[in-house]
Amino acid sequence: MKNENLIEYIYGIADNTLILGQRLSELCGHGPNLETDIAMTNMALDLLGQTRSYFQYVVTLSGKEKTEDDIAFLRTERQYKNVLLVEQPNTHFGYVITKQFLFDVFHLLLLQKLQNSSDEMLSAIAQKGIKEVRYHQRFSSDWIKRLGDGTQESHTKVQEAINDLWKFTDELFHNTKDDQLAIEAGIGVDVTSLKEEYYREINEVLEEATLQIPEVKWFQKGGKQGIHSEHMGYLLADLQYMQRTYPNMKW
Amino acid sequence: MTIDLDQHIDPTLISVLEKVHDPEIPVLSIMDMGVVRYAQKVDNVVQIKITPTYSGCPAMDVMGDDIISAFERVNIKAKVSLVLSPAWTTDWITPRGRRALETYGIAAPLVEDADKEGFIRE
Repeated sequence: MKNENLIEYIYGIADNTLILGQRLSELCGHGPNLETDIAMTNMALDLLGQTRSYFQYVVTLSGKEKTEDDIAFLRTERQYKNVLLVEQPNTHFGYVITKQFLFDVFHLLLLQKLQNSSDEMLSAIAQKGIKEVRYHQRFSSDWIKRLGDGTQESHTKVQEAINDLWKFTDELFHNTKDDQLAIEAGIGVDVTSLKEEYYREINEVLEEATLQIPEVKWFQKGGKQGIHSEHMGYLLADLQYMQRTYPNMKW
Repeated sequence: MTIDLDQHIDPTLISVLEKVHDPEIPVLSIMDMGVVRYAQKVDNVVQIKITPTYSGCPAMDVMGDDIISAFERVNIKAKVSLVLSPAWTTDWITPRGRRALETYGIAAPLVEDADKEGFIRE
């Protein structure tokens, strides 16, 4: 597998952790209570830490022409390969938790497979990440149950979030052409193989939370090809502000 | 999980490594935290490998710089690199590290492998 394809494969994983980490970071100081605020900011730190490991690896693969910061802050919108789900705005807490839950279940399944990758570095990052993501999934699943089986208002709000975000779940299971190359090389995970287990686990939690599985027949896609929703531009404006305003600035 | 770290660490380097502390928990040396995975002198340069306690640990960069400075003070050149696998667990905190944590007011983990997974142990 050529390095340029492997790098694209890694973006397909690392841009999800970067963008969801950025979304969670927006909540720093704005959580519904202190404990939740700190827990979510801590999850943001985990995701951004994993992103750094992936990007540092990309730096070595690309012959050290760029830094990890260049990769995070200086690509244009279409060069980011995250799924549409993770870039969706936080809106209310029901959305924050639902987005997190729908991603966490996928993320853990992905890393559990990625740890068997023939690529030693990706395997190591996955092994490290599993310990963190297992906690993320427990955190978001517990909140789904608490909100779904909570008050009438919390139930209505989280059901609304599930109905709205469900259309972004199918994209998680599309292999890109770089995914295919990585699978053939024994490096990548075939995400189509995770789909059944994903919906089984999601349904189990929703059922316990007394929430309905939405009947969505049409699914949105595009993020993996760099075709993002309108929210991505605003997110990047925030994320990239410092490097765009003061190019090459360093801490 | 226990792992025999000693075979990868040159005992003559330990006294210097013990002078480097976690910037967030100053009572704890990096040796007592169990984050030093490898320390050997190769062609007059000390090669150190450290592992993060968690992926986003911002203290790793500081620890790396502190290790290099600690060796500079005894006129030894050091290089530090990061390793991720096998992943750190709280098991690697030494008994002395645990006592230091307790004295400092931080409850040392009781169960084996009590990292974030410890929060969700049934």
